[in-house]
Amino acid sequence: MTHVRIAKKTATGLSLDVDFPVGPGVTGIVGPAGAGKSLLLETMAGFVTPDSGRFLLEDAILFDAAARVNAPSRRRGIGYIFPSLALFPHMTLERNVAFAAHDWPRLERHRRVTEMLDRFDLTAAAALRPGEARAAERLHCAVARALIGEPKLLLIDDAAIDEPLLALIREKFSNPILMATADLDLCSAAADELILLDAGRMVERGTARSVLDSPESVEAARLLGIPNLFQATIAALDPARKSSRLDFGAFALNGPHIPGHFRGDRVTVAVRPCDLRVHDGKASGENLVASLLRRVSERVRYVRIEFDGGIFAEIGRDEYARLKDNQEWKIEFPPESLRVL
Amino acid sequence: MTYSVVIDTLRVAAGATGVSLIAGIWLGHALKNKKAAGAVLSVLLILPPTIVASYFLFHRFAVGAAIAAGILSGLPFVARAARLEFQRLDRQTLNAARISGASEWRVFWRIALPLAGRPLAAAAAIVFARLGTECALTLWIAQP
Repeated sequence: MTHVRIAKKTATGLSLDVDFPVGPGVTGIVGPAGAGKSLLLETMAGFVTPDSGRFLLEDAILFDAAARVNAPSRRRGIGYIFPSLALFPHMTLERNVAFAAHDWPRLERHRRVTEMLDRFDLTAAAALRPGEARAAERLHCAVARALIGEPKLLLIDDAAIDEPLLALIREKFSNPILMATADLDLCSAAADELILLDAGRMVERGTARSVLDSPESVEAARLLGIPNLFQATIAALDPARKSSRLDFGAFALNGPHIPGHFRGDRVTVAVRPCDLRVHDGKASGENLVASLLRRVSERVRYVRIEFDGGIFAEIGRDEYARLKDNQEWKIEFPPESLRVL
Repeated sequence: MTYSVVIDTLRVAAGATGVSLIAGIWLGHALKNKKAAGAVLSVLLILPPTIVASYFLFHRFAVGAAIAAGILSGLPFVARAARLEFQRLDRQTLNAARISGASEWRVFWRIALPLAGRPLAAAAAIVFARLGTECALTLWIAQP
């Protein structure tokens, strides 16, 4: 069993207080800057001593404040990829990797280093120092150095790991990975579990899919970057048809079934911008809201449109090119896209 | 006479610089997290010339005593430089060595010392030059 229960107050006023089991596979830790992601990983690695708590790694107690157990970093059996990569600038990439294989006998060390260099495409750059190597080679070197000691847990602290590299890591490494990142796309694609962290405490934890698709609280929705958060009153509930009617003040929408709530309850409704559909003013149908366009922001793969009332929609660039001369706009809220928090 | 002055100067400067460098690196590393250490080392930088001058006013020249005086003068300088260099080292780089399985001694020997090496070599060179100059001048003037 691997379990983290850690509390730590820092001089900057951040109060970290988390308690969670580390499951197999990749666990993404997502939160804004200053949420305590790095501090959490640093306490697990033993760089920072927690004020209280207990950290078990595969049933071995690495930290226990009550029993005054605090294993040094070098004995924790943890691999760590730093945000700056922290390669040793005076050593070649090969020596950087070999540094972490010091405990193996010489021949075994040589075999492992050669295998790692080969696996992470570093053979050609092995004799270069970090300052002479390309960014991708430095990143691969940091990964190889973290994995060569066969750690029981890999911690990735906001490093620029992409999906193919994470897949490569998982080919070689079957133990749990904790990855602090702001990249929700990467979490969606590669993480099995997700922890939302804000101001040092866990806002939500669950499978990546469930957290990303159905945040349970307003805080979680904000952390996931959902800008459409509306206050509504439940005007009607129809359990037979599994539907509801939500009154937003300026407009009313048909929504999904809302178990555990009554008519008249005030709720917060979250809608992903990509779930909204945008039409011209002549469109008619269910759940259409007429609004005025306020701002258009062109992104790489889509266009984000802000309407009056703080409604944000994201549509494809082709669709926007077709609609951009509209004088009047209607936004469609598909009932299944409304998430009552 | 000139030959013996040069030899004595080199012996004093090399001996005192060597000891100052080793002891200064150790002291600087040991004091790198102590807040008051910087001020104490700065005060020690000022005191030695006074003490050394007082000693040689009342005693005959001896190489051992001159080396000891040189250490008194050079050690705070090297220790202060070493302390600043060790403080300046990237914390993540040192932690990367620790999490890679290195003991504190190995972190110091393989990572901290090589990374701080050039500034420390520069500090040692300054100490050597300063001690050499001071010693040579003193011996020339003290000659009958």
